[in-house]
Amino acid sequence: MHDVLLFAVLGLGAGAVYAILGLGLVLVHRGSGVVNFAHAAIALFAAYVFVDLTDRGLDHWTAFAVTLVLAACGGVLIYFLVIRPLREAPALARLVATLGVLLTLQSLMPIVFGLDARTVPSLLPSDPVEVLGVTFGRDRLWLLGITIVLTVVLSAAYRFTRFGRATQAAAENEKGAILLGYSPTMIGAANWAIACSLAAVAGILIAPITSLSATTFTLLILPALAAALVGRFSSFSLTALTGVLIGVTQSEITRYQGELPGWFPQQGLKDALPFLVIIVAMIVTGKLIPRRGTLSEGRPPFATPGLIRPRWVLVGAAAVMLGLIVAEGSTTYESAITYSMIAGIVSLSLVVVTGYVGQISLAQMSFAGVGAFAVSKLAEENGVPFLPALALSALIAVPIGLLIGLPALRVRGVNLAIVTIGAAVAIDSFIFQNTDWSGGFDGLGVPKPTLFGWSIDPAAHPQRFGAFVLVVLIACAVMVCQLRRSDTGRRMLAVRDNERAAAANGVNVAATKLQAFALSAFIAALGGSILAYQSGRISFQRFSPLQSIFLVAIAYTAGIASVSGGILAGVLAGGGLSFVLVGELVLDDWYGVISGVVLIVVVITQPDGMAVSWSRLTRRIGRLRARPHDALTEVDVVQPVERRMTVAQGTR
Amino acid sequence: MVMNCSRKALVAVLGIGALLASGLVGTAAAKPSGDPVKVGVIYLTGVAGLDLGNILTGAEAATSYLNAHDGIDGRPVELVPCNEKNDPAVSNACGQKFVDEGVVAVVGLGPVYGANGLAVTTPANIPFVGTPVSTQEFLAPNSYPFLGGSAAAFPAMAKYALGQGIKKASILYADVGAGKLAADALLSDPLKAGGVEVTTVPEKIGAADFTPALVQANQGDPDVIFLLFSAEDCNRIFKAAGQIGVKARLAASGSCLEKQVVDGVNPAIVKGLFANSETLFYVKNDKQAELYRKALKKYADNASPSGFSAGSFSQVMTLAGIGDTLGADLSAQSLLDTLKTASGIKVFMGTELDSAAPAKLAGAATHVFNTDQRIVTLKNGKVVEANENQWISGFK
Repeated sequence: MHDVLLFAVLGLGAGAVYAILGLGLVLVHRGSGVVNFAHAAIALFAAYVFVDLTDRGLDHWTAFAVTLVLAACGGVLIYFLVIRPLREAPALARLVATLGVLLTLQSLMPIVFGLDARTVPSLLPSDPVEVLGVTFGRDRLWLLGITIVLTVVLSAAYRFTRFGRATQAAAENEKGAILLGYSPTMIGAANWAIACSLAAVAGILIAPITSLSATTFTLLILPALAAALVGRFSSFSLTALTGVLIGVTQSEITRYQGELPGWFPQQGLKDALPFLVIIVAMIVTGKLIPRRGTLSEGRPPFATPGLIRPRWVLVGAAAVMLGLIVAEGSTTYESAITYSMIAGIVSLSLVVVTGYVGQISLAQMSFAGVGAFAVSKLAEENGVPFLPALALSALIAVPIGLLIGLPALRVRGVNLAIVTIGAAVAIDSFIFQNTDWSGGFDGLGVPKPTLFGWSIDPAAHPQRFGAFVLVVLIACAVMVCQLRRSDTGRRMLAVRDNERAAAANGVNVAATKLQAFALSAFIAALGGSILAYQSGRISFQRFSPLQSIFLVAIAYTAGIASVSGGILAGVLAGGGLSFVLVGELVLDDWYGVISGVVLIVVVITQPDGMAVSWSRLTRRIGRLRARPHDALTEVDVVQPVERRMTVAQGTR
Repeated sequence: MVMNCSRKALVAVLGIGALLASGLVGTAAAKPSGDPVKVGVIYLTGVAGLDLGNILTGAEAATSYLNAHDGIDGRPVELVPCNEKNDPAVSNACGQKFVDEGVVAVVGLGPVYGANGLAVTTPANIPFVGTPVSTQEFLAPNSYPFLGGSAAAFPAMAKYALGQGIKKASILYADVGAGKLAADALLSDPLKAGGVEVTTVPEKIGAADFTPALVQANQGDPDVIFLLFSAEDCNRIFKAAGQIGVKARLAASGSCLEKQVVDGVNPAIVKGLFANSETLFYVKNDKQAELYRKALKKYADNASPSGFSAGSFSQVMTLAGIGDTLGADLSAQSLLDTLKTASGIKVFMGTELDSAAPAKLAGAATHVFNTDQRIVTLKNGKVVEANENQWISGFK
């Protein structure tokens, strides 16, 4: 019993860290309906500013005050430049925009502040204190105390003050708030200013414990998101309490992990267990069909009709083969072209689940990982031939897809995104990082592929392997196009647009969602298993939850609801063709910054994705050529298409 | 032909090493000419808190030095650097870049390079002679690391600890990948074989707070707590150890002795700290170490000596020694053939590489052929010997 209490006390420090970051997430969501994945990066950036100011001779408290003011200004800037233009956009667009902010800030930090480790002065007394016979840093208790005070203050402020009530009003109904005389813009800006100041407080206070580490801060956001999820992104007290409980649970696991039976998977237990509990809680408390009053999100990206143009397929295929022939001898370009096609296959899985059904899945790279590791087990360890190994490994991912799809029956929108990332963390921690199952850092080997006795070894015959991947990509693209035009596809779009209406029209919402998850898991796993063959060896780092997050970001900007968008996402993916081309043109250090900014700009200016915008542009040019004296507006071109689809398919 | 005479010829590298050493203090040799000898360098920078940019600094200093002193067999040396960014896709691309550029070998260190880049360079028969960090680098057929990396470091530290007469030890290891495997095979097994009571405690990399794990590791008052973490986490563990009043000596990898890692740490913790060093870079009266420090001063803007830059410096210089011996025959293939059969290759600032005597882990032979380590500690902020100027190997 003594040890239980002891380790509960020791977990308060980490718990307070999660709680204070979770409070900031709730604050942003209440103010602007955004799940801010960049919150921890903002906290880290502010901590760097604080250290920089103290290094320049400012005393600690002056530096603290200046940092808070700068953070507030930064918050207002982010709101006006990134968030406000996306006020009407769907939740996923705003989420992707915050990923752009995260990427930009993370890449800016080494450039602005350098790479040397910096010592962070502690504003809190850090001398040892003894509680229950164990000594630890007093700063942990201070941090907990500050978190409690902040929770009480924020709860009271947002419940009892006019500003708090106005925020609530603007969050639920902007037009109503305007009619009451409030400015949603000013309310949003003020909330972002407060949230970024809070992030700065969190960053400065926790950095002496966590150090100024991008790795650590990036990881902290996941438990903080879990805490905010339990608090439904609205309750400060529940969020803070959950954050502290996650810290305490992890600490208890530290104590008792060694006493667990040998068969129980222990690796990653601390990461995964809190998430698993939260996922179960969300499923149990979620609703099968949204309530009547549930607010609809902004218009989701335009789902293209899924028409297959054989001419373009042939041109594209010829271009890929030409590229592979021209790149002969350059392993870098050969590999980049093939990898782009593989990433395109994985991105097509997102077109199905997110583009067509509107379910935000941040676990797609986990499905790809399942396929990759399965193919190694099947082919390398059991000698299963190439094609059967690919098919079986893709099929193995289907039940996992269904399992991860289960929460989608009761959890929606960004909440589902966080639940799926929780599942991705659990898969990563329990399975992918388990040395017994996945080879750990070293990964598992994959044999050289042969097709009907013909070697298509990617190292020896990159063109042959590239041609095979091209065939699979085309097959997947055709399948997704056909799906879009089928009855199932129309049901999917109906569910995406309005679950209640779809259910009222006889659509089995649950079955439709599960179908989408199963199919997307199959496609992603197929991509993952081909990636395994291309790499020759596969390890868990390629399938981390963060890789899944960035894949969604790329797919969204490319066009998450169109097949051409999915293929373009492959070209834009890290390690793909554009990555290699741009990497040679742009200064290495600035690559991340430019990528982040481009991501934000595209999300704001091209809400349907780059591929759809490009398609509209080419169509418009074509019409202009046909009728040079009667230029059409975009409305002329696009809206009739959407209208025709709406009438014909009974959806959009 | 190269294979037949390699043993004889490579022993001569000892003498060439001395010649190189004298070259720095003497007059510069003729300027190298002809096709450059390309050497791949894997390193990591741009990731705050996980910066291994010193690896490139060391390799560049060695290259500048060589190019000012007749290069390799009269040919200039050209580095092909690749920042793996701790990203598997980028690491894979690095491997492809090395193949495309036609490097003769790859030096340096990258946390995720072994699992992702090595698979690309292995079919091209390009030897990896850098610092091994993943099992892949310990086992790959083309891996002939001049320095032993963690596979040599931790067994050596265990042997040193046993020599200090310890009875109880804890191992706090990174709960990721092969962390447990390393904790068991490299530390726990040799310590237990020496009669030491061992407790292992996992904790995730970049944990929000290391205090609970450290308290657990400290239970039962161990004599030594071994830390299997990177320098970044070492700093946080040291600070937490100071706060909870750990009495045990802490043992960590050499990178945890860097100045920025021990800054702000309770002096009592620093006093008992010991770590490994793969080279003699800190030794004042060693000629090769002196050459390394002078080269840093002259060619690397007076950069501070460090274990990482010393490692890559040593790798490039050792490679140059072998290349001089191979002469016009130098290529990735000839280098690989030489490394496969060689013994007695003098490692710059180190001991010798013996391909006939691989280190065995859990009964299986690895591709680690140099297991000698120095045990060091800190005195007045400087790295000093902890083991009476003796090399120590956990495998001998």
